[in-house]
Amino acid sequence: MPAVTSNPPTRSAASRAYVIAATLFGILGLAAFARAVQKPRFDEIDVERINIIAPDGKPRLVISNAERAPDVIINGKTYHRSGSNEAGMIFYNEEGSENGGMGFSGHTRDGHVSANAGFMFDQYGQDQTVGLTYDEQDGRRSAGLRVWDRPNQSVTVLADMVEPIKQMPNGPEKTRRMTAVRDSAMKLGLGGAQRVFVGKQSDRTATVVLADAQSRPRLRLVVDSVGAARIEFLDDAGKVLRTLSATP
Amino acid sequence: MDEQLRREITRLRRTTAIAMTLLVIVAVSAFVQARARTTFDEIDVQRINVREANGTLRLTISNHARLPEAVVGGKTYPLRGGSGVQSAGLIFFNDEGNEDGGLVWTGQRTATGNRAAANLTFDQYDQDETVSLGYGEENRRRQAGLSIIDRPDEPIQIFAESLMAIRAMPDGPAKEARMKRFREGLEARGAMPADRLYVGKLPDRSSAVTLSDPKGRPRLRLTVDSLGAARIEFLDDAGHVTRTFTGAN
Repeated sequence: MPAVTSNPPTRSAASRAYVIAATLFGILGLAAFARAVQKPRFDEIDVERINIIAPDGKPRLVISNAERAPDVIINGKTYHRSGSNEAGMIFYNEEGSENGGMGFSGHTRDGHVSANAGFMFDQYGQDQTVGLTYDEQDGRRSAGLRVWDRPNQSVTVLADMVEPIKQMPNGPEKTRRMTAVRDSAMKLGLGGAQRVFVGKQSDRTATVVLADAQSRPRLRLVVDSVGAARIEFLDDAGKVLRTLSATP
Repeated sequence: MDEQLRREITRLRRTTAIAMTLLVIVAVSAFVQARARTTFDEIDVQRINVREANGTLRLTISNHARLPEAVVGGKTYPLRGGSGVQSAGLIFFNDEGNEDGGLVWTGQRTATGNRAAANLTFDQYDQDETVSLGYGEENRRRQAGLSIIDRPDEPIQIFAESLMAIRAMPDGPAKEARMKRFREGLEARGAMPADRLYVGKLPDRSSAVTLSDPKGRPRLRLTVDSLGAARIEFLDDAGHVTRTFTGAN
């Protein structure tokens, strides 16, 4: 086409510049996206939930706000939590079952303060076995380290009993049935027992409590709210058998 | 020039100009996005590295496959795990980029039952864990509690270097002899860790508080055993109980 070859040379240079620039920007754009796919770098991110997943896609950790916090997942089955879902972290073992977590919450509603925080590791296939906890209701506070025994049976045995009741509308019937199921679960040994508490209690004592396999305190070290220190041995009915104090 | 061709070229130029401008915006915004604060509803990721502005690693949050190897004295030592344990979690690093703690967990069925562990640990500077909240289980033998441990003054790099060298040796009596000498050397120069405090439950199904001396020997022990019997024991440096308090005497 002779008409085209007769174009002024400046125009053809401009066209070439367009082509080069477009190519460069194309590469730049691709590079930016490639980087975003490979290992993106952020100064700061805002996110409602982060899932740390294994290469096969199974969760190993969820970090989230309360709204997006996951329900309990054990052996591929989902259950409602006994308390409400909280902001924090939930840990999962290699099999994708929940095996611990860290949750925290605190608010003033209708003039009443309610706050708590917990860091828990679960026994395999079961509920929490060691944890750090803080709990407060209107200035009554407890905080400390706790250790629990859990049964050998899977927690799903108890969860399957409780789950249908959790679906019921709130009311006296729900409360009655929940209490009945929990009582029978305890009798079947499906609950567990707190064996150790080290911390402070809501009566303002600092204490170390060692309990037996039925959660009954049997040895207790106490410094009470007025500073009195004592060591107590207790029987299985909760009666103090012997007390050691500064005055023999 | 043919009028139609001229119009065609003009339109082409205009299109190119618009396309280029859009490309520039996309390319620049992709980079800007990486710099500023970014918002997501939810992300799936195998590993997150939290770094100082200068690039020093301070925290990794990851699955097992991407869990970082131990970094001590600025050097990486592939000494973690090795027994089929597939821990995932958080690894902490100090201002110098050396590992100084972590929060990891694992749990799985095995041929003989199950194996599980979880630990939150803080390391002594240039050393191993000095305080740890943990749980461990192997085939229903369980332990859970808080441990406080004395660690030697010498940097853990010395330990890591020796261990790496021994591991590189071919299996056999020479390797075993070297390992034995290594352990004896640690003991001789007082470079062994010592448990100082344990609060928790033990595999014998007791709940206990144990306070130990700097050599790791229990000297004061509070116990409620598996049957509920409570006692307080004072022990000498050979492990003999020298005085006992119970509910009865």
